[in-house]
Amino acid sequence: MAQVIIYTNDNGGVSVCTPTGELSIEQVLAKDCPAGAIIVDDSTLPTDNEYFNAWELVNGTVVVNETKKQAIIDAKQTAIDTKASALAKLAALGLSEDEVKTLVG
Amino acid sequence: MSRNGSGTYTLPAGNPVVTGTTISSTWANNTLTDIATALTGSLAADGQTTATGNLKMGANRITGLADGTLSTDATTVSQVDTAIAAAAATYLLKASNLSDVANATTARGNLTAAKSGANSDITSLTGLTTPLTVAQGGTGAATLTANNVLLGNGTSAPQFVAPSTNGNVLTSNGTTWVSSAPSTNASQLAKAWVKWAGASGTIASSYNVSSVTRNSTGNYTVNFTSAFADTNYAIVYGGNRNNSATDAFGMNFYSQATGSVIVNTSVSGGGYTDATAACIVCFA
Repeated sequence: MAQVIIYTNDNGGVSVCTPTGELSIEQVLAKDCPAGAIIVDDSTLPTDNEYFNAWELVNGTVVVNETKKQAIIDAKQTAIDTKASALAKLAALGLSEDEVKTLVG
Repeated sequence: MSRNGSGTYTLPAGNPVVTGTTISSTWANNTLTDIATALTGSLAADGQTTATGNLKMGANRITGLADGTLSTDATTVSQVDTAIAAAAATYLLKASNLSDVANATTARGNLTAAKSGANSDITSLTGLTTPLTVAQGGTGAATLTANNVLLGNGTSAPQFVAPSTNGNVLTSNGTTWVSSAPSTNASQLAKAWVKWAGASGTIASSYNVSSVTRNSTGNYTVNFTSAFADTNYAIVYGGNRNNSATDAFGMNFYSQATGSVIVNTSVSGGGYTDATAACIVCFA
């Protein structure tokens, strides 16, 4: 088990600081992290990194904010839908995605 | 006593007699008994008498001697000559300087002696008190200083270069080799570098980087162990996503401070994305 340092960043999300080993984790805590940061085993962190931006630090434990997670999922789906719509419009014009990339560079 | 101890025989008293002396039985028996005793004490020519003392030859030879046959017999000169000749054919003679050895290889083996010149007899030397010279195939030195580097020195014993200061390298001065500090332009060396995995934050390797902080997906703060003197240090970076050869992967840095720099990773059309592997190298 590796130890990392976690803290709530200015955006309300969680920052995870991984020491390289050149300094002790206590030295890294003092030098690289703000006050209130804590040392935890990385095994206590959520395993799904895809929704890292939905992580929140609550009472010393990192949890996944389901609302934020859903927003991420929705945003990804919107991006997929938008792209599909654009591709459909291009197809109606007789253009493929690669042809458009070639034209616009 | 018929003889006087030196071999001289003297007739008993009453002898010699003068003319006109009447020969009596007393004189005759006494004289003849003395003569008989002397004869009995002498060696008979036919060999029937056994000597009772050592024979004194008075520097004279025994001539006409037959060859001895028993171990207690006297030996003739002829027998001695024959025996010497036989011994010369069998045994080494000092006078021959070993030149009479018919089989040199066997003789060396029996003597446990090594062959001169090129040979394979000598397999180990343990008694040398003088080191073999370079010309002899040795080093000319009794000891080789531990951890030193040996330099050729013609036919003389090798010279040595000690390691000296930690970090030194062997450097040519145009003539020989010396241990000296490496001459490096410090500005040519990277002052900090790190390679990490974006999603897990695992550090693969680093130098002068104390930590990497993942702030959000595709956003990292690289913290330096020793801060730069100013923010003019150059940054080279690169990475990939999913180890892909086709992803249009991008990186940029901002908030460059003396003690840290923030790095973003992204893919075209996908926004900020965690790098599978990201690297930055800093020069100053």
